[in-house]
Amino acid sequence: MKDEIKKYIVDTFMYGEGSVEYDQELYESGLINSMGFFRLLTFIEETYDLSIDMSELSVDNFTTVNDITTMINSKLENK
Amino acid sequence: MDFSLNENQIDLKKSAAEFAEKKLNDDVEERDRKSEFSRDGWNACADFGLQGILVPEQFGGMGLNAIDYAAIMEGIGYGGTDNGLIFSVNAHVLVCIIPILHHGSDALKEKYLPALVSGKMIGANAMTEADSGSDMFSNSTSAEKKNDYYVLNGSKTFATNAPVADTFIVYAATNKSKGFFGLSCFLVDRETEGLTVGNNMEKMGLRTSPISDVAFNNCKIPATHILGKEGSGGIMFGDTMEWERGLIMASCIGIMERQLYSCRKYAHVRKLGNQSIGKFQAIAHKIADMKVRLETSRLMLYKAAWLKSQKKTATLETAATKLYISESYIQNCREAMKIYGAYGYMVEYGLERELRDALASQYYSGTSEIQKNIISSMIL
Ligand SMILES: Cc1cc2nc3c(=O)[nH]c(=O)nc-3n(C[C@H](O)[C@H](O)[C@H](O)COP(=O)(O)OP(=O)(O)OC[C@H]3O[C@@H](n4cnc5c(N)ncnc54)[C@H](O)[C@@H]3O)c2cc1C
Repeated sequence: MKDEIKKYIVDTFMYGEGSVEYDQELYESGLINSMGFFRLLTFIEETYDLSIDMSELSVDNFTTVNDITTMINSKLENK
Repeated sequence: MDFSLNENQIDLKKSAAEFAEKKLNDDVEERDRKSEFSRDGWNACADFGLQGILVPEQFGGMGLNAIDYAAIMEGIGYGGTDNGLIFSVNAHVLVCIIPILHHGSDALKEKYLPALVSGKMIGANAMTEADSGSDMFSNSTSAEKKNDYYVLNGSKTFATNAPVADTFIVYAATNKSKGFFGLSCFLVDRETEGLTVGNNMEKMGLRTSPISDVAFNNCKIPATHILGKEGSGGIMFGDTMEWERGLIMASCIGIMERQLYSCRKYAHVRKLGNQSIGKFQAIAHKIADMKVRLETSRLMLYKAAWLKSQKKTATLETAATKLYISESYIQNCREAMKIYGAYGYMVEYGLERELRDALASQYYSGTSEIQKNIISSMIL
């Protein structure tokens, strides 16, 4: 899952060139902007068949590939 | 795939249309002329249940979903002609109640939702600023944390309902350098010391919906009045905008349906020489185009409403819905005026007012250009 998310980020926001670390902060670095945030969210909902309530999201649990994966796993466990 | 509304939704839509026709249409032309908001109309809407459609029963609402909301508001738009009042109700529900419902603490929900549903309180949403306009995330209103409160400074503009509002949803930077990720959202009472509301701004259309500036001068906001977490305001704004963009045009579908009906009728009864103008292909084609725009708009509305009822993120779909319906609605208003000829240009027929009201839809909830930016940034 981590690699799938990482690949999506590199393909979508870096046009396939470069790489992202699992613990890299995605927003402050300017890699993902506000619209990118919603795009990533849509990708996650579609790929893992989830509905993510935006009230559960914050900048601290959706900031790195590691955070995002933890959040998805906990959603999948409670599905 | 089933495109039909269920029986309950059909009944709700029908009774909403009947209610609006009976209770909301008195003196609309006069109130439009005077830019007058109808508090009686507002209270009637609350008694009917509009403000509480999406709010759970425990807070006095109807506990219905986004598809029900779309169906009811479509009925309201069909029966009602006070488009400004209906716009005010939409703003109150979609950008004031929704953020409280989705992101407010239990204490805030218990304190505010019953009064916002019953009609006792009116809500406004203050995001836009004079110097940043569409570039929302470079806003300069700030909130600085001090002990158990925030100090709010700055000013907002174009806040629908502000002149009559009791409570404001305000977006402010708690960490300016982080832009979208440094924004927070607060619920601010009108009586807060340092808060001033400007005079009602005179508008071209939607004149029965009040709108003004709001300024905050060292306003002390209890820390308990933050919605969600500090820094999550941008996400909440995105969530709220999806609801607004997805649903705010529902009443306009009702208006388009009503207009189409009156144009079909007019095309039959208006005779030039011996024939109805509906026999002219140029008029018949306008009616066909109006019908196609209405049906495609309705499909987009209910697709967006379905996505939100499923609690799905729908950034692209709701931006496309808002863009498409607003442009179609304006186009249908223009065509209706043409079908009516010079009569359409006369105030008495109501069509010029409807066009004036419709034109606002290319600005509120983000301009058409901004919707295109959102759509393209989701796929490029
Ligand atoms: C009836 C009405 C009700 C409203 N209610 C509210 C409310 O309740 N709360 C609230 O906060 N706001 C409200 N607004 C404000 C509304 O959201 C703003 O008017 C809108 O976001 C645009 O901002 P602006 O008017 O400053 O235009 P500007 O941002 O100055 O835009 C001017 C022009 O430039 C274009 N433009 C700007 N940026 C770009 C870009 N990046 N790419 C392409 N084109 C661009 C715009 O599309 C527009 O054509 C309301 C507006 C209206 C008309």
